[in-house]
Amino acid sequence: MNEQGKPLLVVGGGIAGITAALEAAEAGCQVVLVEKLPYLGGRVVRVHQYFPKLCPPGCGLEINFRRLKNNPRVTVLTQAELESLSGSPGDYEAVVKIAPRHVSPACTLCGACTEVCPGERADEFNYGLSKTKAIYLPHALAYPALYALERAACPPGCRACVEACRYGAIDLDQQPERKTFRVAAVVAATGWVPYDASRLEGLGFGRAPNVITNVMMERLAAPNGPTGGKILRPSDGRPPASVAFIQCAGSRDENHLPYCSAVCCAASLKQAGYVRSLYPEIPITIFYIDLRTPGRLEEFLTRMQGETNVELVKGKVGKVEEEPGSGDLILTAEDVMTGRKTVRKVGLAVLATGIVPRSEGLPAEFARDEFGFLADGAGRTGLYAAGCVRRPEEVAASVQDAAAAALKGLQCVVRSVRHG
Amino acid sequence: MAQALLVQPDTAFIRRVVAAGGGDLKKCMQCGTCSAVCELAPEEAPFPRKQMLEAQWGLKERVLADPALWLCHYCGDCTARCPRGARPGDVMGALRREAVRHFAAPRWLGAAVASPRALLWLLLLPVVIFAALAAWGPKGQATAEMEFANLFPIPALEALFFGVSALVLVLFGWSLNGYLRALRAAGYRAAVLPGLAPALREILAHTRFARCGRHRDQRLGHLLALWGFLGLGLVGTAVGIGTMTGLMRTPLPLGSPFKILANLAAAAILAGVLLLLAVRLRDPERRAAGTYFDWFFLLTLAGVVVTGIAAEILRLVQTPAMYAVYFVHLVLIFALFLYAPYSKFAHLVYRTVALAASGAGRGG
Amino acid sequence: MAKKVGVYLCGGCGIGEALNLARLEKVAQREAKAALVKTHPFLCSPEGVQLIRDDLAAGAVDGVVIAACSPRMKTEAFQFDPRQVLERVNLREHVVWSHPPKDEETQALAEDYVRMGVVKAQKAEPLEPLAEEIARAVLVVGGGLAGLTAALEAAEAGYEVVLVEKEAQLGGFLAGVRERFPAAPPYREPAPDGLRSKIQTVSYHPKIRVFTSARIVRTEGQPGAFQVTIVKDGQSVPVRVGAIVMATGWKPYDPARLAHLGYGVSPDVVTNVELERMAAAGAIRRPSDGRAPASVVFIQCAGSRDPEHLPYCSSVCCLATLKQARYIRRENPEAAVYVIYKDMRTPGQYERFYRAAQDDPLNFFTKGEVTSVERQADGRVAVRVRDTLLGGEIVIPADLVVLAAGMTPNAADGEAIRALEDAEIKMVKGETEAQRAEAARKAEQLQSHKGTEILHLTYRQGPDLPTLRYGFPDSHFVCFPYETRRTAIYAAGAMRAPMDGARAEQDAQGAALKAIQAIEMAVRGQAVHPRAGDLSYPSFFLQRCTQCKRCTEECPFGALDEDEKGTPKPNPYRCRRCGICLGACPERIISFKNYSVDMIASMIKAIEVPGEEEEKPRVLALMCENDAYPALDIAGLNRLSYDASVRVIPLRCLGSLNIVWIADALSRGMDGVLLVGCKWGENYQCHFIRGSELADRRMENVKETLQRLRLERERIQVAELALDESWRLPALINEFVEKIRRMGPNPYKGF
Repeated sequence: MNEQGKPLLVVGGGIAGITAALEAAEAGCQVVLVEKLPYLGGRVVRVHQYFPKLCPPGCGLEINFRRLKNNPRVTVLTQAELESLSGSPGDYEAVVKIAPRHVSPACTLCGACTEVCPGERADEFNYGLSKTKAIYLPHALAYPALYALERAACPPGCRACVEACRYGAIDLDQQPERKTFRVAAVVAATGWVPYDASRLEGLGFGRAPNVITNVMMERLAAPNGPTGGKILRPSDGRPPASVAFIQCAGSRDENHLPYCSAVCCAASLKQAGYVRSLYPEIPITIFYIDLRTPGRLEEFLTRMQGETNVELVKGKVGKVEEEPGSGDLILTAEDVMTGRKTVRKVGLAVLATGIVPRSEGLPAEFARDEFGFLADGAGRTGLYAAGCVRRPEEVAASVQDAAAAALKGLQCVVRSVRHG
Repeated sequence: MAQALLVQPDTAFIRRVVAAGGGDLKKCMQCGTCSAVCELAPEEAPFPRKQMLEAQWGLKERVLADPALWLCHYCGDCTARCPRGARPGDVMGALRREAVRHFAAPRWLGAAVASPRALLWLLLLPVVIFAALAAWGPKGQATAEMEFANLFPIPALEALFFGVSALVLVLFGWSLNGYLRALRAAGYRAAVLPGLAPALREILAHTRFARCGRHRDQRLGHLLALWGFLGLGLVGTAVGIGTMTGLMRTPLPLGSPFKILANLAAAAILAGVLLLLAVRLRDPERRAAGTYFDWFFLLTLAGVVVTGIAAEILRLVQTPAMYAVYFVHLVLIFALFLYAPYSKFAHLVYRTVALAASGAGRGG
Repeated sequence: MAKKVGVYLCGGCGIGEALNLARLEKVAQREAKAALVKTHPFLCSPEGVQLIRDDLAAGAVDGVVIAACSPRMKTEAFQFDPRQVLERVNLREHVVWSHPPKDEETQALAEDYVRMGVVKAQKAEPLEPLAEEIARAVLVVGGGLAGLTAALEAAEAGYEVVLVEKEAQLGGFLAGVRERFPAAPPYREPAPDGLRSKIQTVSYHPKIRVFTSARIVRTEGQPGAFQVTIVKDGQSVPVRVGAIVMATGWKPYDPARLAHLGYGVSPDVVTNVELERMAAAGAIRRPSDGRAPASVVFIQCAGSRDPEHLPYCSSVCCLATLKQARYIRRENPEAAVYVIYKDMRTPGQYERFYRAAQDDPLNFFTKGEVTSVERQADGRVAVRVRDTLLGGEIVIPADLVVLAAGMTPNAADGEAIRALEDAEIKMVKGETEAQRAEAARKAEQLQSHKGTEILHLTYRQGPDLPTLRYGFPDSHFVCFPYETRRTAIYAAGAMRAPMDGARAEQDAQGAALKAIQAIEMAVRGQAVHPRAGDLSYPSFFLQRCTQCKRCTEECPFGALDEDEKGTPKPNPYRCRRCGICLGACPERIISFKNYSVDMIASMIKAIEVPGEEEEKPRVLALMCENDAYPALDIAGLNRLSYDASVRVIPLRCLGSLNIVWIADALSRGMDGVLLVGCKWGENYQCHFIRGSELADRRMENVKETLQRLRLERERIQVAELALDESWRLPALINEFVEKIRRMGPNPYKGF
């Protein structure tokens, strides 16, 4: 019965959006999935391993991408954004703006274009820690499995890729287009962005190269990351002699993000594990206010507490200074349990930066709380939210959310059939 | 610390601290950012995180005896960086006020100075004294020029101030005795006297102040005010002794080294106070800076200097208004002195003692 | 069986340059007996695809083999009727992108793959989806917040709902709650419970049948057609449902075990649940004298985060304490509230609630470890705490002590109950005294599970969901929180994992969606996650069954029941199509139309094994389709090179490995067999639970075969590989082949 209804629009192709789309589609709905980037997977595809299982996100994404490939009910639009929304519950008109990819589905991933491409761009996939050619495959598991071209990175007049492509897949003059969909409901799963660490006064990000953020750490640890999975210091490309994790870098802070980002504690414990498995001897310190590992995640904390050379210090780091010459960092905190100041030199400091909801581009009909999260129960019928744009949460909760939002969407689809 | 602490929060104390500018005290979640960013906090016993907790829990005796209260120079780094908006700098200020009030002896006088409602009475006392002195006191020989000796018997005036100073010293001693006993009880058993010399050196140079991150410009203002105050104290004492012994006669000529020093010192204080005022106007959020306790001291001090300079100028231009201004000047000096042990003025003494006590390290 | 298999060779992406396509065509035509062979320079282009479509439409072929890129690529382009036989031969990632061009071994590899692909297609049959009568109804077990939500939301989506609650009233835990955690901005105030209206809506909903004071005595059948027997007031009511949502909630940790925190020391030591009930019923009073307490100490993590009690965090106790502190402060403005925590856990926007609670001048928080809770002479309770932030030990005299006791699930452990039953039978029927004693010991251990059944499933593998950790039947998978081991039965709310009400509601909605989805997939005859949409299912040639019970025991999803003799009774709608049964069966009687023992065996036979003198080893690699195979694709994409003597066959799951394949390979003269599955152990990554572990275990049986053949054990290797470890593959393969080379050729070559 759900098949004849209007489609459900899912905005955001991260784990929440993919899941919402698939869950609704497998329940029988038509779905339009809109993603801003040239590939699906959002934040998780850039994560090395999930906590607490320490499994690669690619495993679940592979299953989800297979579900997508086999499910004709889902239409995936990448480099696309919801531009406007009008209408009423059960019958919205959504205008989607699609930026040119310049590479058509005829692309076979043969790679001939990249070989000849002279242009370069910062690789957002690696949070700018590396570069790609102007024409690039976002990553090996990319869905859709197509190259993309960042036109702005092309040298003027260059047509090298067009000439190299034997499949006529490249169109340098492709224009943006708009598509209009009549949809029964909208699920916003636009996810989050890491808090801008350069705004964290005194913590050295942007000034000291060896102060990195937790999302960068994921890339450094990932085998397909800029360092091939070796955690190396940005300043000199050498392994760090010690690593510190600075929790609540922005979160639980009235000057930055007054809420708790919910996942950073478990994320840092996990990343401490990355460091531990690569460098079994080096000291690791985690500076925290409260360790927040709810439910089963507690085990993860217990395990890390049992590791040798891992120290958990209750006390927030106030200052990070770079030692001239060595690139090492001097951290100052109060060890609250002993009531003494602790000043330590570390080789690499990881800021556990928090989750900022990406809700600014969404239509005003979506109700937001003071932090920009899409508040519960305040939205209109037919408009739902899932994942970190709804509240800061871990992957499993985002996926749960997505299934819940899919049901709300499904209800609208069913009603749209009943009421025509 | 073998003995477990029996928790009995002094809730009235918590409310007083809240009222005295520590309104965000309870917001503190004990992250320790404040202690980490404080450039003045020593490694072994950093502040103000611990003091925040003790204040939150109403542990009055413990927190008020903590020398750390006086090691804080109210730079504002902690407040700016506090993730909870608990404004630890302001809380420390409020705790200092509470300490002054707590150790005040006699207690009633401390309470009176702390209360805006008693202000009138506190000022009435010198007004009556000086009015009486002006009305009945023996005057010097009338001169052609208008001078203050025409209004007051100067040697009697000086004697009065010497008497007040002596009384203030006694009161300070009395209050400090309580403070010292509390310090001892809290485990700061080291001798204070040997620590005084380094403490004084530190205070005169304001080296700790220089470490402040924010509000570093406070240092200059504070330094000017301190040195000006010391200069005036020196001149005042010398001239007082001089006039009482008949070796000197006021007004001193403008070219007199004493006069020059006095004028320089007054100018220094004025400049210092104006600088300090400018700093706090720039940061209107500083709550402790907005309390009566704070303003009482600052305005009295400013008043003393401004009326002093005004009286001098009026005297030089020979306007009868000089008498009225001088009268106010004397009233303010009296208030500044006599109430010193209970006003913010007391920080000069408490900080010195605390520095000396903590410089010797925590005993026990 | 596909009689007319068409082979479509693609010459694009370097395949045409690296391989001799004409020779490949010949191999397909002459050796593999393809009905038709065509080559196209760009097969995934619309023209290329049309070529295939035309042949299918014309009836020229009834099975298609596409020899081009990986089956993971261009899936949408090469989509025909899903029932049709379609086989993909990976000439790109696995051949030309990872081996030298115009090389004899590379060519041989491609030729083998074409032979294997063609024979697999020839053996495959078109799919005929299951098509039974499916009940579009959902059973919801538990009438608390999660259950009410699941029922309501499923009904609102148009499905019939049967709601079963064991108590006389709906509402569950929430019925005894005064207020709920903040639900809306600015998240500073608790929210009203809103339960009454939800109960009303559910009670009068035309699509929901509510059974209170009722329980389930039997659940049989399979997804789409569960026959559930509900007993209410002594009456049996049969209902037919398509899927089940379990939302049986939680119970507080047994406070009798919290004596070390003072429970029982004084009536004035209560649990947070007891306090909540008191608050909901009226005012908070000291149980001892009925007076309003002036000093209340909350002890957090009472039982939780404690290896002696509950090793996990109960997730809600910090919030519950903040809420309850507020009750106390509201009722008595002079009362002081102390909170002794390990870590304050107020995630997300709940942080605002913590801050709001802190603002209260008479709330006192400190981290600390409670060392003793004792009754004082004056009747008050002294709480002694060490390691506080105050820098030492403190003693707080309290009028009331509240233990923030944790959550335990109201779940039954289906597998444990089954094990208990087995042990009880063995206690009597065990063959030796030792066996009977061992069984008695086991039964003793499992006694606590006795009579805990909720669903009473008639499954061979136990009457309820299996649990994951600590008795919670949670999903093992981060990306798939509803990946259940009992198809179409989903757990939601606090019985699944410790969670607060808001999350339980969300979870219940998610579970309702999954239930609806399971029904819709059943209607279409499709498998659910992780092989969502698969139309194949196993069939059993039972005449040859020896009742060995391996399949029924090893099926991770309890799809196979047994009759008294031990003959498997398949329930295809429960099946997840992993093929583990196929791998387990020694008689090879289980097969899918597109995946069978014979099919893979035929592929192995299609591999051309060079003679001993040629010194070209041949290695069979059986790889997990979800992790290892994609990893090998990525290795190709990254142009990583490895030995060309390996022939890869993807398996649905390494657990579907039938050891006969290994015997076939070795007896045909192949020199080694490499098995690559996903990671196993505690954090296993197998979506069929134990696939690669089972395969590893089956290798024990292979030992005999090897001994019989007088072959070295090292000719077989089992490896674990995660999807992101493609960089490891070349070394893994090369080292294995190198080892085989050193061992010398298989002596059975040429037989």
